[in-house]
Amino acid sequence: MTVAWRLWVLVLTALAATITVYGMHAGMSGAWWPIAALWLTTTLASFGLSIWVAGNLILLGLVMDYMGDAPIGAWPLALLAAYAVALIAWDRQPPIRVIGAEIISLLGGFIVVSLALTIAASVAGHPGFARNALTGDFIMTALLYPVVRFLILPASIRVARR
Amino acid sequence: MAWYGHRRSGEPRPGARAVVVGLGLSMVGVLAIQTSTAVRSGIDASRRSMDGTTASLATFASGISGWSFFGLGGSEEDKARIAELEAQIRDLTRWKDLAETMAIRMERYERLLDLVGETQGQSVTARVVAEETGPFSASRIANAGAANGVREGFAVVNENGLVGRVVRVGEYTSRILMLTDFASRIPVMGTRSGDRALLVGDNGTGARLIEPETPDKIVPGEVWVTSGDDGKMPLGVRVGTARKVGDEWRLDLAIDEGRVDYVRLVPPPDFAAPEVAPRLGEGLPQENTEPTLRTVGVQLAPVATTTPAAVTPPAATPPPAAPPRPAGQGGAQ
Repeated sequence: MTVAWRLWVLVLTALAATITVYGMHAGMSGAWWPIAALWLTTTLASFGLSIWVAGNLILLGLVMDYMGDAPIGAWPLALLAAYAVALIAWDRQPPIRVIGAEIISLLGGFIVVSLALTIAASVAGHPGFARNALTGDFIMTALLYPVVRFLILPASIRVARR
Repeated sequence: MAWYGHRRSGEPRPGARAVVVGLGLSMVGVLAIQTSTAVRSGIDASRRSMDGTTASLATFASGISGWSFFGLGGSEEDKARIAELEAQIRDLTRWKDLAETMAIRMERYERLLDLVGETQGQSVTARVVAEETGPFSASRIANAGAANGVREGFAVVNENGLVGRVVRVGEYTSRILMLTDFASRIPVMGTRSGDRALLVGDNGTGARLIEPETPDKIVPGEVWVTSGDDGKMPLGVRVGTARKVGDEWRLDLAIDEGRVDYVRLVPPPDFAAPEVAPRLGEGLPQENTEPTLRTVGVQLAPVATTTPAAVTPPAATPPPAAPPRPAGQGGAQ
């Protein structure tokens, strides 16, 4: 992967962290706020497996752990799991279409994130895990994804993946 | 060749796969070692400093969302809000004066009755600068910390009632665990039934009462307040109203009646710890140290140490004569 691409991934990670922080300001507790990290796992997997992306996802996950008062390591584990699901989905494209790979990545990502966070809470001895809060956030993530994909996913990716 | 790389996706990369899987497994390891109290306390130190960073970033984000460009964006609404708040301040000032007068009277009554009251320390008012209602916690970050006298365990209240308690304190920030959080446990009591129970949060959807002593006595719509049984919460702070859902009782929380923006961080009641207080019979009588009550110039005679046999009984004194009984009354009454 090129240096420009690595910098682009770094910028996207910083943007995702900023969006996460913005969702924490006073008065936002009742709102569904998108999980920006899921946009990254879904779209960046289209470039193929990258340790650089995995490293950035771990960093982003750690930030989310600290801000959300989650057990340290919970969100990194969940994001890596979502990244793995997205890699598998994109690996099947073709024959499946790009939109199909994206839907599987996003939906499958959400399912494995829920599972991974539940396991993380259990392993770390956390008193509980609220799936409802995550579901609302995921709905918002999915609703905004069609807009965000044009910012992250370059048009040439489809050519490269043929 | 695209700008993002030379390699076609889909090529097998066993080394990279092994690294990513290894990273995932190491995260599980990190999670597992957090069951250790020592590790958790170590992480708490970094969390304290991160709370400060989160608060700063969230405040900055609030600032951005509050910008109005070229005077556009609800200035009339702001003016109306300011006028409303000024009216509220005038009204509250009157209530404050009345409350202060009543507090002084109550203090005097308590002194007259020799009532052991709950002495309350100085509370701190703070603003909530960050909110988190995620899968793991329902918490807030307030902009007052150890430097302002806030300590872990402080109760957090607002104008509607109890909000939660302080669980972590940084230098200028403190994290408030909301009543709705999984980890929240608050002893409460009903104002009409007098029943006592433990209020347990279930993250986001509210809080339920567990272990009520006499659940049959609970009345729907009854106001529940803090019981102070844990010695950490002040007594009588409004928590919510009771509602029965299925077989269990839940509380419609008072904090849901309005926004949680400004909060008061209240120290625990100033009870003496049981191990500090003297045991029954110990430490009494104590020497009188009050100088004005001392007898000056009078030497007390030393107490003679005598054996029981040497003690001479005092001269018997006749008992006082019984008063004459009125006529017509018998001996046995």
